Amino acid sequence: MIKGVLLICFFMLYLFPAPVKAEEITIVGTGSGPLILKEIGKAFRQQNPDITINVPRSIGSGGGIKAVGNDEYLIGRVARGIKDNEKHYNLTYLPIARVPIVFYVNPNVPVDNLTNEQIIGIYSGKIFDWREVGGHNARIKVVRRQEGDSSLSVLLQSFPHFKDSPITEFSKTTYSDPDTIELVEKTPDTIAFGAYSDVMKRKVAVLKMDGVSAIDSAYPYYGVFALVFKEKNRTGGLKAFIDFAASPATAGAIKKGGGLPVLMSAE
Amino acid sequence: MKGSIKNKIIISFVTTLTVIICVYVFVVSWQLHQKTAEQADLLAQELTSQVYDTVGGYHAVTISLLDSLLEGVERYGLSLTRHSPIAATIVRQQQESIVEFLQISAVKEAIDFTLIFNVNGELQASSGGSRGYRPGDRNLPAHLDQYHFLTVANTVDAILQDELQFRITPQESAAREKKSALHGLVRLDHAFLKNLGVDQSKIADKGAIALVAAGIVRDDFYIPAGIVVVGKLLNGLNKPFQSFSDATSVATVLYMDTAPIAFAGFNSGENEAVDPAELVISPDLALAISLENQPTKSVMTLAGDRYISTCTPLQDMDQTPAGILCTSLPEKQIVAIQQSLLHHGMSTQKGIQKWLVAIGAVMILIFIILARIIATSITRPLEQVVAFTMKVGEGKVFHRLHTTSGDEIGTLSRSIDAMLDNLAVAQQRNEKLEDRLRLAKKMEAIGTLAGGIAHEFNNILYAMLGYTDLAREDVPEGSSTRTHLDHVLQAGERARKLVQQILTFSHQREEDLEPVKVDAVLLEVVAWLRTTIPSSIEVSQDIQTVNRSVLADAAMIHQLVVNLFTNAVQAMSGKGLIAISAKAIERAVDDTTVLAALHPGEYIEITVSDNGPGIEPEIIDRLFDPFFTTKEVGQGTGMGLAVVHGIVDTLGGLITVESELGKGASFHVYLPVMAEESLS
Repeated sequence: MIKGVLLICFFMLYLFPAPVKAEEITIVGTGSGPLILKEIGKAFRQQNPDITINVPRSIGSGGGIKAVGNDEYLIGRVARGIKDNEKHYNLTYLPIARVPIVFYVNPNVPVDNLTNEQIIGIYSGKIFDWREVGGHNARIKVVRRQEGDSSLSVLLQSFPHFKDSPITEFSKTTYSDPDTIELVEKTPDTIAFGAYSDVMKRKVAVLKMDGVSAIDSAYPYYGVFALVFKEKNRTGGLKAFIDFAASPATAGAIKKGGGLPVLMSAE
Repeated sequence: MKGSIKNKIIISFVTTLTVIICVYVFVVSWQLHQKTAEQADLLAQELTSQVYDTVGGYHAVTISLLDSLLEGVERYGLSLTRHSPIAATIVRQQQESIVEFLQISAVKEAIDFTLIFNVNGELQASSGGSRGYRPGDRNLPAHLDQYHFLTVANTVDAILQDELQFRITPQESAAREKKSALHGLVRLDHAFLKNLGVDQSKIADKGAIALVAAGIVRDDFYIPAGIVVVGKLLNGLNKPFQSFSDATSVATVLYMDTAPIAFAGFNSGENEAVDPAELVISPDLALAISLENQPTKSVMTLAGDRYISTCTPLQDMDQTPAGILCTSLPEKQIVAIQQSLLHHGMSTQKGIQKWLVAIGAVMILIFIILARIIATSITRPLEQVVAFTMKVGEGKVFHRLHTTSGDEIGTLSRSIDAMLDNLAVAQQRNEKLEDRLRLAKKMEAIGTLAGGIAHEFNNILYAMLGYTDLAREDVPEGSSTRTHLDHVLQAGERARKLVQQILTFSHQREEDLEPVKVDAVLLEVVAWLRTTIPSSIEVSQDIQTVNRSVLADAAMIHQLVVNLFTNAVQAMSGKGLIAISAKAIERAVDDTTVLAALHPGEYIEITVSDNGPGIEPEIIDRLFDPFFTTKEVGQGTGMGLAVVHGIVDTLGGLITVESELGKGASFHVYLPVMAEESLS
C-alpha cells in the first residue's frame, strides 16, 4: 500500500515540471570585509537570481580554510594568505579585493590625519596625549587586536616600522571586530585599527594616513580578501560565482563594500 | 703443702697481677670518668651551638614568613590596581560598588584595611576589617595630603602626579612604580586604626605594626584612576606563626617596643593561652637588639621558662625601629637532652667500668691458672729432686737424676748427682779404709799374736840355740853329731831370723819416728842394693830430690825398699829390669783415683816396678797377708810384703799394686810428707 503511494508521488514529480531549485552557496571564513562580499553577492544575484549566497558569521580565515579543506564547505572567505601548515589542503587561493586597514578614532578626537611616525609613536606608547598630535588635551586610549588577528598581521607586514617596537602594554586588547568598533564608538579619546569596510558605516572617524584616504587606490595598507576552494568543486553555480567575483565587473560592488579592487593593472 | 715454693710463686704472681690489674682498672675508670664528663660538656656545648643554629634557621624562616605576608599584601594591592571595575567606579564615583567589593575581597584576602583615593587625592572609600566605609562614615582624613605617615601612598602619589602632568610617560611611570619601595612595614597609631574601623581587639594601646602596600589604580587603557593603599596588621597574627610552631615546636614573638603583639608556640598543650604579660622583653635587650644590624642571639625568659632565642629588629619604611621579631626554642628541652647525654655518658661509663672489672676478674682467674701451670713446671723438677733426696736420705737410691735442664734446678740436680758420686766414692774409700782398718787390725792382732808367740818362741829358741851351741862344743868336729847339730844351729838361725822378722813386723810402732829425707835414704838403699842384687838384673832409678821430709824411721824405709826389691827379684827369677822412682805428688781434694783413700795433702810416691811375669789378679788381694807366698815351701817366708804393708801403715801412707800378667808389676808407695813448719 505504501509502495503504491510512493510510486504515485514519484510519477507526480515527473508530471509537474520541476521548479528550478534555488542553488545555495555558503561562504565561510573571515569576519573581515563582510560588506564587500555582500555587495558582490548582490551583484551576482542580479545576474543569477536562482543562486543564493550565504555568508554566515565569522569563523575566522583559519576556520574557513579548515572547513573547506575538510570538505565541510565548498568555498571559504579569507583575509590572509594560506599558511604553510594549511597548504596540504590544496586549496586554490583567489584574491577578490583589497581590504584597506584603517586607523579610526572616537568622533570626539579632533584629529583626522596621522603620519606614519605618529601612529608608531602612539602604538609604542611614546605618544600618549592627543595634544602631541594636534588634538586636545587628553590621554590617548589605545585599542589593539589580539595576536593573530588579520588586520594586525597586515599592519605588521606592511606598515613600515610597525613591528620594530612592541605595542605598548598601556593599551586595551580586543578580541573581535564588533567589540572593537563598539568600544571606540562609546569611549572618547580611543584609537583602534581594523578593516575599512567594517567601520565605514559606523559612528567612528576614519583617519587618513599621511593624507591618503582609505578609498584612495593608493592607500598602502590593506589586506587581501580572497576566496578559497578546491578546484574540483569549481563547477556549476560555484564556478559561475567564482568567475564573477574575480572579474572586473565587481569593481563597483567592491568599492561599495568598502574595499578596493585587486590591483591587476594601473588604474 | 703450706709454704711450698709453688704456692709462693702462685701467690706472688697472682698478687702482682691483681695489683697491676686493679691499678689499671682504676686508672682507666678515672680517665673514663674524666673523658665522659669532658665529652658530655663538649656535647652540651655542641648541642647549644646547634640549637642556636637551628633557632637561627627557624628565625630566618619566620622573617621570610613576614616577607611572604608582605608579598601577599602587595599582590592584593596590585590586584586592585588592575581591577578595572574599581577604576571605573572611582571615575564614576560609584562608591557603594567599591565599598562592597572591598568588603568581600578584604575578608577573602585577610586584609585589615584598604583606602582608595581618586587622582585628586580625595578619599573615595575605605574598609577596616570586614566592613567598608564611604567618606564621612568614619572620622578619617578626607585627603591624601593628611596621610603623611603612609609613606607608600605619598610615594605613589608623587609618581601619579608626574604622569598626570605629563612630566613622565606612562612607561616611565610604570618603571618607577616597579623600582620604588611601594610596600613595607609601618607603625600605625591607635586613633587612625580606630577611625579605620579596625577591630579593637587587634590594636594595642600603642597602635599596631602593619604591612602596607600602595599602587596606582588604572583603567583598561592604563589611564590612572586613583591610588589604593592596603594594609595587614601584624597584631594578633598568631596563626601563621602557629602552624610553623606546630611543625617545629619553635616559639615566635613579635614585639612592638617591649610588648608582644603576636606570638605562637607557647601553649603547653593544655589549651591554656599564655598571658602576654609573661612574654614582655626587657628594655635593655630590646635596645641592644635594635642597635644590631644582624640577628641577635640571647637567652630570654618567656612565660617563666628560659628560651634560646634569635631576634631581629623590624624597621619601618623610614628606617625607624618599629618592632622586634624573636624566634625561640625552650632551653629546658636542651637541658633535658644535656642531662640525658650526661646520664647516658655516665651509664656508658659505668657499663665500661663493669666490663673492665669483669675482664679484670676473668684475667685474674686466667692468671691464677697460668700461674699454677708455670709454677708447677718450675717446681716439679724441684719436687723430683726433693723426693729423690728424701729417698737418698733413706738410703734407697742407687741411680742418678741425670737432669739436662739448664736452670738452677738442673744445676742443683747435677750437683746432687756429683755429691752422690762423691758420696759413692767416699763410701768406696770408706770401705777401703775399713778394709784397711780391718786389715790393719788383723795385722795388729796377728802382729801381737805373732809377737807374743815370737817372743816366747824367741826365748825357747834362745834356750834351744844356746844349749845346742853348747852341745856342739861337746862333740868332736867332723862328727856326724856335730854336723847334725850344725844343721840344728842353721835351722835355729833361720828360725831366729824369722822370729826377728816377725818381731819386726809386730813391733812396728811410732816411737822412733823422726823427719827423714826419704830421697837421701832411697839413694843410699838403691846403691847398696845394686851391689847385692845379681848382675843379671838391671836396676834403673829416678829418684827426684824432694825437699820435704817424711815422719819415719830410716831403717823402716830401708827395710821397705829392700823387701820390695827382694820380692821383685824373686818374681823375675834371675833376669829382668827393676825400676825405682820417687817423686812428690799431691793428693787433691777431689781426687777420685786410688789416692782417694788418703787424706788430701802432699805425698812422696815411691814406685818399684819390675818386668817379671806379673801377678795373677786373684792373689793381689792376698799379697800383703803374712805368710802368703807363691814360692815353694822353704823358699820364702811370705812375710816380706806383709812387713812392707805394716811399715806403710805405720807411716800413715798407702801402698798399691798394679800388675799385668806377662808384663810385670808395679808397687806404688805413698808416704805423707810433713808440713814444713812443724812436726806433728
